[in-house]
Amino acid sequence: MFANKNYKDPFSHKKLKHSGFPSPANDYIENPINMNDLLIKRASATFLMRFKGSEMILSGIKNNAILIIDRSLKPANGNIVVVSIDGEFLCRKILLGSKKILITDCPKNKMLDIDKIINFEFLGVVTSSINKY
Amino acid sequence: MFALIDCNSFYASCEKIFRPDLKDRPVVILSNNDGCVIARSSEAKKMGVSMTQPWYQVKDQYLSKGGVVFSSNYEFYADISNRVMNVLSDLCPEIDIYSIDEAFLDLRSFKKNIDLISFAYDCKRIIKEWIGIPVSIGIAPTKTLAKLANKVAKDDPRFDGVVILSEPRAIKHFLKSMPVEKVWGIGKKLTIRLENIGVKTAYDLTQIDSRLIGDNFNVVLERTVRELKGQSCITLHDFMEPKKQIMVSRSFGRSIRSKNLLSEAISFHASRAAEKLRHEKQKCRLITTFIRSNRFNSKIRQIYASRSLELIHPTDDTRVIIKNANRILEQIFADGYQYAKAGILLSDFTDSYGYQMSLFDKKRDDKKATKLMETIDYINLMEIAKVGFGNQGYRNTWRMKREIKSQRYTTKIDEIPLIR
Repeated sequence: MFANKNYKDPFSHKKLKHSGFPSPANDYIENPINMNDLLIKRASATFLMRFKGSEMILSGIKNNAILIIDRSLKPANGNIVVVSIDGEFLCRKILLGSKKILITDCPKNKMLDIDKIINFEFLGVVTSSINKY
Repeated sequence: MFALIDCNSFYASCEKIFRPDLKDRPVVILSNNDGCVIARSSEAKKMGVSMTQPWYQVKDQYLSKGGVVFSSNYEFYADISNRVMNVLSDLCPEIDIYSIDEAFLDLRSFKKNIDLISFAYDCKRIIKEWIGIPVSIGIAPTKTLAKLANKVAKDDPRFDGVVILSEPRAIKHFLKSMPVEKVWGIGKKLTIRLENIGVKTAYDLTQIDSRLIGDNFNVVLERTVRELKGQSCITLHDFMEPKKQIMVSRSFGRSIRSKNLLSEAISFHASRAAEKLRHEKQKCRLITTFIRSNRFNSKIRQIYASRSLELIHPTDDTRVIIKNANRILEQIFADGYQYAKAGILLSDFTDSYGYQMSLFDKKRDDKKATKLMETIDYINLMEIAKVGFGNQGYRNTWRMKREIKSQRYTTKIDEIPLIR
């Protein structure tokens, strides 16, 4: 999806012709900021998912946020990750201490001890989320 | 050395990426139009579902045993394939993509002392972790040997998905255990002919006199034998031979009786085929149209009708192809049958730029036609509005049905997976 050569970055502008004086900034032209470069490090391993719920609100993930997930990254302490538990995807914060624990931002949710879950699989690290207002 | 990387049960593995609940469950994929089974997960293979089996024959039993079924979702498979090939080309820039789920890597540019075993396991682990697709890997001195090694890596669980052949003695031993029909490019007919002269294993094939092959078989077999002996002679370009024919056919959503509807379908296929022809920069001289009833339905009267028409000069003009495809339809159509499938085959190609005008050809405004075709292809490429010819039909009742298709998880923002 990201390797598409026909993809046109919305930040890019048309090259307009100058007829009068050449721009004094001509020698300093740089490419505009590219959102894909900013958000995606490894396109082949990056997938998008849509988050539903309010459990991760304190981490800045609102209902309907688009999560950008990099499957090539190993989880580090405090990362927000995507895992599958009993055949269902979940977005949680991971704490790696003497125990490996998954938590949400919602105190009423109980913590999950990864080693005690039988049907567990790690999918990837959430590198950013897009909330639309 | 060459590596052949092959995705295991590719379509079924794709369907499982975003469905962790399907992890160990049987999954089958149906052809366009949900006619027959075209891919199976390993669990479905164990249940005894076979390839190209008509779906309605297995449906009830398969579903009652907890099997899961999908219509083919090519948008999604193509994106996943693209990701796999991109990762592979990062691991080894010399890559030949052989099909949607297979690629050869040319490892000859690697350093001599590289550990091929850990390279292979790294490839396998990375594609599984990053994309979610399991692969099998065969590595050997030639592509034909790598393909054989891959087959064993995939079929024999003892090898854990990786087989590397490098020592001549090991290769010899390996070839002796390999029935000749498993060799790349050796089909059923050839197997029978080879068995008649005493060739049973791949090793036997390497032992026959090369003059015997030259006299009795074609160059392709000669090349295969050389490859089995460890002499690399299949290059990238061998895969890129221009196509020799183009076929476009579909089963209908439901069978149809009317000639007008058939004509719409034929015109649509003809225009797709012409597009492909121009993409290949070829012109065709032979147009074949066929129509048929559902051969799996024993309750109806069966029909299969097909006829070819030779043109005076080769063409890639959609209008000419549609007109002639329909002329054939006029000749072969019979009333009172239920037609389930129609198609068109273009063949007898000549290069777009290299054909000679015959002396008696009408002087035609070829430039104008070329320009028109280019414009049509261009507009259709942009996907804003499709441009076609009037007889391609608006109703499209015969368009394929794909009823149980999964979401386009990676190419449509409204269809990305949901997560809690």
